[in-house]
Amino acid sequence: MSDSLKDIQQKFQAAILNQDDSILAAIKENNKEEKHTLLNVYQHAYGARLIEFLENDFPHTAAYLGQEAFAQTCQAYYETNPSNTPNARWFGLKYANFLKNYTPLQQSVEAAELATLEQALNTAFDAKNAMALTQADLANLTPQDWPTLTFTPHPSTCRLQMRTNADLIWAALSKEKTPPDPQKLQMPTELIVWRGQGMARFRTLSYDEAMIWDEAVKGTNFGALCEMLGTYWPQEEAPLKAANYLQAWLSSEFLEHNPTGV
Amino acid sequence: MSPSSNERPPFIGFGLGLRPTHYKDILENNPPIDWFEIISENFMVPGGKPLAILDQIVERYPVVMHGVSLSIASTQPLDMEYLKGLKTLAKRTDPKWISDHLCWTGVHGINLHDLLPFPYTQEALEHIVERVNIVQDYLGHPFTLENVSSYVSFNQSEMTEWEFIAELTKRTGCWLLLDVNNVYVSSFNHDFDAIEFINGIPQDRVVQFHMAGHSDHETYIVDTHDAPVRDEVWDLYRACLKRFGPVSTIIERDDNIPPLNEILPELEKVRQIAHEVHPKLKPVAA
Ligand SMILES: [Fe+2]
Repeated sequence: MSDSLKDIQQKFQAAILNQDDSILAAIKENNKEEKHTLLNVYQHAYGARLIEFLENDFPHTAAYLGQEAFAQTCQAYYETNPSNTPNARWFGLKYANFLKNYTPLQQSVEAAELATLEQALNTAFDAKNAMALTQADLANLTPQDWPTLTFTPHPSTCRLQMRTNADLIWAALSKEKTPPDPQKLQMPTELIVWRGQGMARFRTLSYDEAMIWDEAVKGTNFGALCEMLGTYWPQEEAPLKAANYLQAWLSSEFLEHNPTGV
Repeated sequence: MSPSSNERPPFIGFGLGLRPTHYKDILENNPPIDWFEIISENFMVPGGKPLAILDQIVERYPVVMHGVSLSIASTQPLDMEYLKGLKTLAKRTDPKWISDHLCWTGVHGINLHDLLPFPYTQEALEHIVERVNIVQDYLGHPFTLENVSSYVSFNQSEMTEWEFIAELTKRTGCWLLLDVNNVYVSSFNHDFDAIEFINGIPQDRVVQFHMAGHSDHETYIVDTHDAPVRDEVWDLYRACLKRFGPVSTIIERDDNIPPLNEILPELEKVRQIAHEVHPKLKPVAA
């Protein structure tokens, strides 16, 4: 009995995913070349293409690990996480997380963190559009409005904590410089990733700024944020600190213009 | 109003596949390119720069949407979420037509991200006819399918690739995107006559040509799109122009992409040959 279209596709896919050769019986003899060599064009192209997708999304991780080691991580990744998305853009979404648990790199936490940072930048790059909240939006608020003011983070923002100097490794690689030696940190580095003027960016946050940002994102109002800063600074300096941080957030486009709020 | 799927799309001249490395040059210099073919998936993202750039391109140039993940020949159900994404993008770009490939890309929910071959059987034909009808009804734009390059063929095939394509377009009214390089590549790989292929394609259904380069491995040819168009493919292009009349054409370069000013002479050649074969052909209005 001849194979149905469904059988053919299942066998062809098995040949690509698992090097299963049962499809060969359905493939026509070719005058110029062995059938398995021709089938191998597809088998080879599969891995090469997926590695290319990951290389596009994680160029610095690839440079840091080196071509061969990177390709090995990619192969391990696609063998356990074959693509299930119509868009190549989303194929690598789980790669950074995969690296965290990838045994051969267990000693290289910075590599997984580097990939995490690249993933966050990719996500910020084409995150949903939203109008940014500006200084001018807040210009007409009365002193009574301020304490109860709350904020919405721009959809492109994302917070990361680095337990290694992966951010410095990223910075060196982005300038095509030799990256610093990996370091485990006593205290994590707090990062915010976002899109400003169309570019995906990140910067470090001081511990107090990170704390009030995380609170602001949860909906804590400006008055309470000032009080929280009072645990880091003399109470009378806290409102000015808060105002300075807010100004920086506004000019960097960290916040969304929320038409129902402000 | 968007054109309905059975209305023949217009001749829009000679264009390029839009690639990110050329964005800056295009937006700064408005090069004399009649139109762009965009890769649909590149713009099926939530927001950010790619869509902002696309909006600017669409303001200045006609575009056509070209996808790679429809998987029209797959035996797994059509991905309606994906189709919805295409439709959303079509609202944004008002494409002259929407195309994808006559192939499958995976089963069991897996996308192999390749344009895979299948046997040309009645069973496959009926399956694909049904799906093309669904897709073109849903999209509401002229829908176009492209012949792919292939490296293997199947014992089971009951007809040739061109007979299959001819029957498919007859039964669904879908339009055809003839990749001239793919015809050449497949004719070499499967030992058929490329002219017989094009003579088997209905004259009035082809609305677009793709021109591209390939890699020769002596015993087989791979459709790599990483090099200039080869002489044999230029010859075949002339033959296609004779058979199908003036047809909107792009150069499709996916790898090893040179700066725009190095591709433009090749596009000029595409245009010149069309004018040689069809001396009365008028340039499309800018
Ligand atoms: Fe093509």
